[in-house]
Amino acid sequence: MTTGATTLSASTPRVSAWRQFSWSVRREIWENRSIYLVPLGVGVLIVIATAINVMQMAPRLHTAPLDPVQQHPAVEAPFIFASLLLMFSTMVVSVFYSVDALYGERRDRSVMFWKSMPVSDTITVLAKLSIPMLMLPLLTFAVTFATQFFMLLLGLMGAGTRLWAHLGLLQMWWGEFFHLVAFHGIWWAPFWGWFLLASAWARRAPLLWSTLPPLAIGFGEKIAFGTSHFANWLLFRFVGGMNGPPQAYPMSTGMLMSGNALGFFLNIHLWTGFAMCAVFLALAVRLRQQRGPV
Amino acid sequence: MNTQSSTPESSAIPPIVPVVISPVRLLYWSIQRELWENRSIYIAPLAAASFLLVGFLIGIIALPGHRMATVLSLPPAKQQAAIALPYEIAEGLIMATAFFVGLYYCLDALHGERRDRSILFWKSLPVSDLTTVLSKASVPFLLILLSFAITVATQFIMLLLSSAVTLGSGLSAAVVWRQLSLSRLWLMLLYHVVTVHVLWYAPLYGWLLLVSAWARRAAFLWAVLPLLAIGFVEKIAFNTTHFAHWLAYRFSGPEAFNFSASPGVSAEAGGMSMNMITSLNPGKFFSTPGLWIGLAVAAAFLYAAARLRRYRGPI
Repeated sequence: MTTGATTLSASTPRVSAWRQFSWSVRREIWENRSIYLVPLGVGVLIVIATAINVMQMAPRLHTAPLDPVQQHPAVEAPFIFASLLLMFSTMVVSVFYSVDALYGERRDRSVMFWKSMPVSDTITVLAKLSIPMLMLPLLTFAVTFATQFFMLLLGLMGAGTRLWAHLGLLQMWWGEFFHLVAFHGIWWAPFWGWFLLASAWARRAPLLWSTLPPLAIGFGEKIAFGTSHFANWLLFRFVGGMNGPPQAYPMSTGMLMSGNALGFFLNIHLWTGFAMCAVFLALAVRLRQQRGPV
Repeated sequence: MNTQSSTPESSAIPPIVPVVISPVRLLYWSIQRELWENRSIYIAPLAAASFLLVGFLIGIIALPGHRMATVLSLPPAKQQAAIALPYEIAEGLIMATAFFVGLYYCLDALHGERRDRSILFWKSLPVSDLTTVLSKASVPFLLILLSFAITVATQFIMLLLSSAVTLGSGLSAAVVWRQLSLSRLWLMLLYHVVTVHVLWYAPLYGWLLLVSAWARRAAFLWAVLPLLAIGFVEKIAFNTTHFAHWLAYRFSGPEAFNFSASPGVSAEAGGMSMNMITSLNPGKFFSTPGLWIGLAVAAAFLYAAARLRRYRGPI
């Protein structure tokens, strides 16, 4: 017995946990090409649309100069708009990906193959979590950066160097980077954990299992007690946290400007969110161990 | 090669006469199959309804008489709104659940069977692709009608429960029965369900089925992102929002324009559905060209989905 075990362990090459993790992440990106195709496609579309716009608008920009106060938002608006569009489309990708992450492999039975690999369930689940939490925000930022750079080039061709004066690009890029990493990645951690849990748990229809119970709880509370604490709490988990108090809705251009990193990480709600995410993930790992193909 | 080896055997066996099954029967059993395979179709609205009933029961027992007393002290106009509110919430939740389940079902209908390879089995049956697609397309409509029935039952039980508790706490239940005209609520809901959810949303379901038949991966993204991208690109390139307006029109339905005739009244009464009856106008609805264009588009989508199903195998 012992000799067999030692020969087995001697013959299997040791792969460090970090290496297993990075290859698991690569596997996810290979299998789900929408992770990078969607932001790239949206970015290309934005650049094409901007090119059309510049060709149409260039004469007008020269003939009708606005006063500087109005010019500033008018110049900045398309850039903000582009980053919002990219953020939104990758958010849809993130939700879709995490709902499908642990369910799809069970449905097409590839889970049997992946489980035969010497990669633990914890590493697999963490690799799947890292896609919406880390990879997609970083990728979105990279694509947003490139898109806005091309938009800037097109704008310089169309409107001349006056554009440069009105655009705080460095500030905007930092704001976008912070928003994507801190908010889409870190603050929404409990949501990503919850989607992964639903994905690991559901035998059918994980999207419904992840969305309908919260909806039902909110409506049930409203009808039973006439209150809406749960809905408010969910809303806070969804949009709060940028500036601390829940009434600070970050869905404006202002969200790209506030970059108080220290205050964000000292927020107690961030850490309770992490705790929730950890619980969801632990459950997802347990479920992946126990559940076979559907 | 194959034919040569099989000829002696086939000459020995008497020719197999295929049993002719009527198309209606095929369609019926295909729909049965969908209901068996996707139990969320009826479990989700039923679960929502039972959840609501439990919540409603807690609401009227945990706060005995208290809320009813405050409601009865209100002036009649507000009283009506306060009494009708839980019924409207129930209606909204059940119909929203059914709507989401319908959307999700359509997106998964032709994609899921390719993904788990069961399509190979289903294609081996003597059921045409068109019949299969039609049976799948009829499921969201059946689901909506089913959830209408569930809503009616839920609201009826809620009415009985609330009158029992009101009587038990020594108050007269007559106010509840007088102020709450459930039959009117049901008539409006039926009208809304048939016109908006069944007829007006037909192209929506058709589109989802088409994407489901077409997409190799990520059907959800293929269904949503192209529409979004068109709208945003139009906004950036030409600074117009024709596509977004058109999409909003397809979602809100022609009824939204009828409601806007009396916005003040509906906001005042605390529930637009109570006043919807005044704007019930089937003649106008059926003479909207958008409806018939939408139905034609839905038929085209379904035909395309049936064609695609013929040529696409498992993924």
